[in-house]
Amino acid sequence: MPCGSCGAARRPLSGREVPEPMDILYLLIPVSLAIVFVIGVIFWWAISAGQFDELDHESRSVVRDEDAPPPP
Amino acid sequence: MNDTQYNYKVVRQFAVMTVIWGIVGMLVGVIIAAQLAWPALNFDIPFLTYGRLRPLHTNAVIFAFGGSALFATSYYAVQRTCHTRLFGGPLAAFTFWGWQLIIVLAAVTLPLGFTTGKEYAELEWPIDILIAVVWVSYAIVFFGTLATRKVKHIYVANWFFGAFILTVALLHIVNSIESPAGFLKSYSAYAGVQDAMVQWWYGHNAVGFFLTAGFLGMMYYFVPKQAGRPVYSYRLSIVHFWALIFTYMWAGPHHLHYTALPDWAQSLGMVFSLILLAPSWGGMINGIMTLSGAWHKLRTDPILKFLIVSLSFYGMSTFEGPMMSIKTVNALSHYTDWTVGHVHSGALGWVAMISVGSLYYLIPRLFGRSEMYSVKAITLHFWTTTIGIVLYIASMWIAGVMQGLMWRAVNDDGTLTYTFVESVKATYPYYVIRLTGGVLVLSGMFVMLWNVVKTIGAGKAVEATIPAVSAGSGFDAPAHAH
Repeated sequence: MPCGSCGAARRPLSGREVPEPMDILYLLIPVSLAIVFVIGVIFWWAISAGQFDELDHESRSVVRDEDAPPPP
Repeated sequence: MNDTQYNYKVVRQFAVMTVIWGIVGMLVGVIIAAQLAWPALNFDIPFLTYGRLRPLHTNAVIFAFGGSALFATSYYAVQRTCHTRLFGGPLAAFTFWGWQLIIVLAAVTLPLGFTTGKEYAELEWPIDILIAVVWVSYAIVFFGTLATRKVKHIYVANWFFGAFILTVALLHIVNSIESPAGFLKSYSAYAGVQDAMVQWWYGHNAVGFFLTAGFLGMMYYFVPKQAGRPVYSYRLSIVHFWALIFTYMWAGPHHLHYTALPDWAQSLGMVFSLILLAPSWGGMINGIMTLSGAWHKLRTDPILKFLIVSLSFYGMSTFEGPMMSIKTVNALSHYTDWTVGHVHSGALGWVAMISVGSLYYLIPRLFGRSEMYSVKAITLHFWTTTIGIVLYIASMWIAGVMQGLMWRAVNDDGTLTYTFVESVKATYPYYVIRLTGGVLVLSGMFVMLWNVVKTIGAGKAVEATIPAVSAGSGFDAPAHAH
C-alpha cells in the first residue's frame, strides 16, 4: 500500500523500497512454537496419567461436593 | 496453620474487593463516557482528562475488578476441587495485599500521567516488576495446590485457570521488557512495528487468556454448581480447553490490519482468529446446554440468569470478533466505536456478568448463609445490567458503522465527503445512549454492594472443613501432579 508521507523521509530518494526486517518474529514464532510444544507435552502427560479416563464420574463429583452441615 | 480447613479468608478478601473495584472502574468508565458526549466535563484539570482516565478505567475494570474476581474464584475452585488447603501458607495473603498495592499504585500514577503508552500495559517499570513478583507467587500458590491435591482428577476449570496464570506471566514479562530512564520512565525494548507486534501479541493474548480462559474456568465451575448438574458434555469441555489454548497464540496481528506489519502476518492473524470461532462456540454451547432439562430454573434463579446470559454474550462477542478480524470488515470497523462496542460486549456481557453471577454464588457461602440477603435485588441487578449492556453495544454498533461509512465516503472528484468533526458531531446522540447504558450497569453494581453488605452483616465469616480422603478420590495418599 502506498504511503504518502509516513515512510518517505527514511527511504533513499532513488525510490527503491528497502523492506523493514520483522526481526521480532524471530522471537515470537519460536516462543509460540515452544509453548505449543510444552502444551503438547502436558497434554500427553494428562492422557497417559489417566486424567481423561472416567469423565462422567468426575463431572458429577464436582457438583456433589457440598459442605457438611456445620458442627453443633 | 489449620490444614483441616479451606483458606476462605483470601477468597473473601478478593471477593469483596471485586465489588469495590467493579464500582470504581465502572464509575471512571461512566465519567469518560460522559466526557465524550460533553468534553467540558474534564474541567480543564489534567488529572481528569480523557487521556489519563481512560487507562485508569481499563486497568481498573480488567486487572482490579476482573483480576480480583479471578483470584477469588480460582482460589475457591482449586481448593474445593482438589480437597486441599491453598498451598504456600502466607503466600496467598501476599498475593492479595500485593495485588491491592498494585491497583492503588496504578490509580495514583495513571492520573498523574506516568505511562508507558502501551495499551493495557501502561504501568511503569517499578510496578511491572511488582506485578511479576505477585503473579509468580500466584502461580506458586495455584500450582502448589494442584500438586498437593487429594483428588486424582484435575477438574477442567483448573486447567483453564492454570493456562491463564502461566500465559499471563509469559505475556507480561515479554511485553514489559523495557529500559528504565529514571524512576517512573522507561523505554520499550522494541521499536516501531516490532513494538506494535509484541504489544498486540500481548494485547490479544491478554484477551484470550486473562479475559477468556480465566473466566471460562469460572464458568466451568460455577455454572454446574449453580445449576446443580454436571456440565453438559465434560468431554467437550476437555476438547474446548485444548483446542482453545493450542490455537490462540496468533490472533494478535488482527489488531494491526493495514499497518506496517507484513501482509502475511496480518492474514495469519485473521485466519487464526477465524479458527477460534470453533472452540469458543463449542464452550459457549456446552455451558448453556448444562441447563438442558432444567430450563425452568432460569425463570426463578437470577444467578443462573447472570451466568447463562453471560454465555450468550460470550457467544455473540466470539462470533463478532472473528468477523471483525476479516480484513475487509476491519477496513470498515477499525478505529470506530464498533470496536468499543465489541470490547464491552465481551467485558460487560461476558466477563462482568459471569463474575457477578459467580460472586452471588460464592459470597453467601463464604459468610455462612444459604443465599444472598435479597434475591430480588439480584434480579434487579440482572435487569439493569442486561438493559444497560444492550443500550451500550447497540449504540456503539450504530455509531461505529456510521463513522466507518462517513470516513470512507468520497465525492465524485475524489475529495472526502465528510470532515472528521462531522462524524464526531453525528456520534453525539449515540454517546449519550452509551452513557445511559453505562449508568445502568454502574447502578446495578451499587445494588450489588448494598446486597453484599447486608449479606455480610447478616452472616459471619465461616471456614469449611476439608473432607477426608475418600475411596472415590483415586488416591489413598497425597498425590503429586507429576
